[in-house]
Amino acid sequence: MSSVAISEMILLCTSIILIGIISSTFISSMLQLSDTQNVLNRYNQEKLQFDFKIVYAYGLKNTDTVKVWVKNVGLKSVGSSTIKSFDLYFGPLGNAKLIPHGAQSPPSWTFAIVNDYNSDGAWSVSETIEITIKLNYTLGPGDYYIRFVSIYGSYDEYLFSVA
Amino acid sequence: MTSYSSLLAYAMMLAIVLQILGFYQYGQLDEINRIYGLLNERINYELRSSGYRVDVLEDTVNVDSKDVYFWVRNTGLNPIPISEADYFDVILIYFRKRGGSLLVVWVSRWTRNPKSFQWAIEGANEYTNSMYPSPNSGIEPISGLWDPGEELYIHIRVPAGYDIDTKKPIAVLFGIHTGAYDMVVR
Repeated sequence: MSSVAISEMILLCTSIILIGIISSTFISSMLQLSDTQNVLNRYNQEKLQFDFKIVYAYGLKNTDTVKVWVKNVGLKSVGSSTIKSFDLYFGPLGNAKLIPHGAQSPPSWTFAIVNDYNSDGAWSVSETIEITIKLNYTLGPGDYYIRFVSIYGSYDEYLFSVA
Repeated sequence: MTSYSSLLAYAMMLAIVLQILGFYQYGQLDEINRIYGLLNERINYELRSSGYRVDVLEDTVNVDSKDVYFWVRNTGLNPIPISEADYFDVILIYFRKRGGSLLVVWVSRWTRNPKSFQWAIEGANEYTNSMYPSPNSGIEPISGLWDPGEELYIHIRVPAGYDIDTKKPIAVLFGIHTGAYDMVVR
């Protein structure tokens, strides 16, 4: 009888240890999965809240500068440092290239918030930014393409022609 | 006895697993609910935005060397709060009298008597929900609604030295806070 009790105790202890090991493995996996899911959810939330629209763009023949006005038509503000991480593609239609932000030599692009009425330094909802693209060539007659891409992957395109 | 202890152990394990799953599901449901809410907000916003439209009345564009005047009508389905006027976009495209170069300027808003490259609301044809003060009173409106069908009289002033060549075409782009805009060439 005592040997049965001892065996029983050993089995119970083994079961409890096994439960502990399995549970901790399961908990850590779940927490990892939960963290990943939360990051993905936050990303989707940000993506849903942000949108913008290119209002107008122009460039003149024989000049190396293009101006673009873009409006925040989303539901949230975007910090100036975030805008610098946006991608801007520009070039003749069918041959647009990535233009780096703030490069020391052309091609490069910079921006300014033209109606920062709440003076928060951020690109708030309904505010407009003016983008200046400096090129390493002058514009000739033809069609030119602009694509502005946010860090969330959303983008807007614009086409204009130089006569 | 053996079967009881094993059963107890399995029951404990099952309880722990179910509890963990429950916590996880609760957290995820909360997140999904939040995203669903945002999605709804976004859809509502898009629906509201699609109801906004403006038309610059081409025949009313009036230009002298320093000023551009025109009427713009709310042709959308929604009234536009005039408090959003700071977020309107006005872009003027014209040939300069001196030198003949083409200028494209984003014009900022000014409350009254626009100075250099600035615009103001200088009048309105209103039917309901009057703006306050009335643009026709000579004071810039700060509240009230620009309702569908109503018109605003816009004045753009260009600075000295940047006179407009009135013999050449000029274009005006007028956009509102939602990104809806109209552009005319005179």
